[in-house]
Amino acid sequence: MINFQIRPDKLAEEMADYSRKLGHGVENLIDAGEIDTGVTARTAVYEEDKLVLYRYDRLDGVEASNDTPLLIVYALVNRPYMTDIQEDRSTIRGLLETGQDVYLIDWGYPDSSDYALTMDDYINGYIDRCVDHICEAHGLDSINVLGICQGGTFSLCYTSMHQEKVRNLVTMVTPVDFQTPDNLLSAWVQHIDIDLLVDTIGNIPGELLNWTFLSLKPFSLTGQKYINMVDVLDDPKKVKNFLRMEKWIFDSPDQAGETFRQFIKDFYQKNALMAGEVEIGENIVDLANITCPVLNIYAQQDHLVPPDASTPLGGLVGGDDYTELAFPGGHIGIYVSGRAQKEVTPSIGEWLNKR
Amino acid sequence: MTKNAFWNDDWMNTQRQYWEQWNNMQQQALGVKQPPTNPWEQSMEHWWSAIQGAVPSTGQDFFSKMMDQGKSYFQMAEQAMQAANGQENISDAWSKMLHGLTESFHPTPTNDPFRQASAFWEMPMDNWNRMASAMSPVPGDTLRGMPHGDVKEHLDRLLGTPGLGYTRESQTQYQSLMQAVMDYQEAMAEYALFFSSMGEKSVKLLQQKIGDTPVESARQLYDTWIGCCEELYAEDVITEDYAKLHGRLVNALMVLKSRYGEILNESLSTMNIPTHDDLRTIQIRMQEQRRENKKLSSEVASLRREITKMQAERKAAEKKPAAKPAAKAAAKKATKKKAAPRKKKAAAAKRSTN
Repeated sequence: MINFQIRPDKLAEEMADYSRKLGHGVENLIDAGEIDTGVTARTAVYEEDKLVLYRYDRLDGVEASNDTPLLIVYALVNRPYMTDIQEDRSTIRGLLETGQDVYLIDWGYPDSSDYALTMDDYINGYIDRCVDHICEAHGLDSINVLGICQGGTFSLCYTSMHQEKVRNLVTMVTPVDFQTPDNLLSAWVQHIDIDLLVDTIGNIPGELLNWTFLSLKPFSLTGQKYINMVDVLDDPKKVKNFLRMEKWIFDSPDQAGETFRQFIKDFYQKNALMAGEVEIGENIVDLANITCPVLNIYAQQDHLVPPDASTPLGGLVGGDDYTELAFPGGHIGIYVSGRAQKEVTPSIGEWLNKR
Repeated sequence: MTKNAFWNDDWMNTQRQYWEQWNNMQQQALGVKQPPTNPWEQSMEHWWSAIQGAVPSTGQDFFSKMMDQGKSYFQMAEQAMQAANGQENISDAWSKMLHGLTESFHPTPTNDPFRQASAFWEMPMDNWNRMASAMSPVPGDTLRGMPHGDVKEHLDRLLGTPGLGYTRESQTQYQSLMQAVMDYQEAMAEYALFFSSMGEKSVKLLQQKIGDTPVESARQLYDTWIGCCEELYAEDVITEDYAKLHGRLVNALMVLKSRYGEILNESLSTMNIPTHDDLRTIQIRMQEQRRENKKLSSEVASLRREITKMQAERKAAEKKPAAKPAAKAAAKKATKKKAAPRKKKAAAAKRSTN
């Protein structure tokens, strides 16, 4: 027999409490004002089409400890300000604190004029020109690269094709094996006719991507988290942080149609990166061409890029200096959690400074 | 009134009234008329509509979600309370509520008190409808309520009839569109049915999870329910069956959209307005030109660097001959200096011989 002890008076009390918190929370919501994103000072140093390459200002009192600049390549999905979402939760800031000279590519928001951008355009075009720009500005032949999520996969492809320009490579929550049994995203795209999808709608709308990501955990992500939020509505700082994260989640740029077509077909449906069969422009991407030191960081509770999707990298790269770092958290927690600020960025800085 | 401009103590009176109504309900015998509406939900709606205008647009959606979720979780507890109305053993009522919830997931006309709880399982479907709406000229759920199962067979035959005469091509296009509508409708129905069957399983899991643990709050009930839903969902959506279902739904929407597009293209073409296909061609050509331009710019930059380098080398080379005479002069001077002693020696030798 179920021991059910919710009495009417208890229920009414709970409702009153919930209502009171909502009522008081409105003040904080109104006071929250505009939600700022990206907190660390930076300068645009190179622009091309919708791409902007930023260089972050060095922090006062932090000495440069690495002469080789670090370029962050973020995913095309969602916006890169996740890496600098708030002052006390910023991967960028953490890296600056370790003395790195940090650059970041902001891909912007592709529109219909960008429909025909291919992976070749992104990797051998945009990324390569950003790397060239940084190399020239610093008088160097190679730089350090940090790729995040899909940006990590792009960075792997780039390094495989331009090893001479990458001194050290760091990949964060980066899929390599796209067909592991626990990869929900992969399972879901296997029966989608990608050619029909891209031919019909051209660029892939951000709404479709949002739906896909929310569908991974629909009850928690579209329901429970809002109930949980009511408990902290009386804290203006937490309200603002929540709204900032909310903004990021739904700030999904459209995806250039042709790039999406190749990425889903070759990487998810054919798992061609594992087989060394991805063709980008006139090149075949062979991960064995990567001979520079590689630091591969994955999140143990990642539901978007499960650990098994990342870890095969160690067996595929051609160099001997390969390091793995397992972070006890999720796909987003690896940038924004308090623990990540203490563990992930200092580890990256230390690893880079030694090389 | 409290200090907060968006909150007043009348609210608490509403809550008190609500509590009193519940107590009355408990005291009334089975079959006594129940309150027609949920006063909590009603007063929340009133309150929200009154202050909504003052809340910035960035926060409105967020706040609405908290309101909606609040309703969901109280509705669940409230249904349990409704089931408990007039019964001596509240646990029996709880079992009755779970039974009612299970029944609600069977695809029958939904006019029962558990409609809202079962609707909870429509969340993935609702998300899909929102997304489909963003990509279609009609709302995502437009086709959902339309009958299709009974008439599909007849329509299939009808739509299979070849077009005739001058408008044959146009007839075929519309037949094809209708077929796509029906296929999409069928895919949506399958998708909804999948979640409906999962809903039923989730109630059983909820019973198992709760076991002997005392349920003391609506929140506890809600959180456990969410946990059960997510657990079952995760198990079912990783299967090949779901992957196929998901693929069919997306593909069916794309076929439908594609058929719409074909007819729209025809209409635009007749009005001499560029079509989707024309635009696609322009997009591709534009990117090809952009790529070519970048390649040429890169080559020009590379050539400029080469030229600059060559110019620098030439200048350096030009400077070298200028440096040579100076060196020669210096060398000559040195030779002269070196030669001088010899000369001196020679002069001395000459003097000595004289």
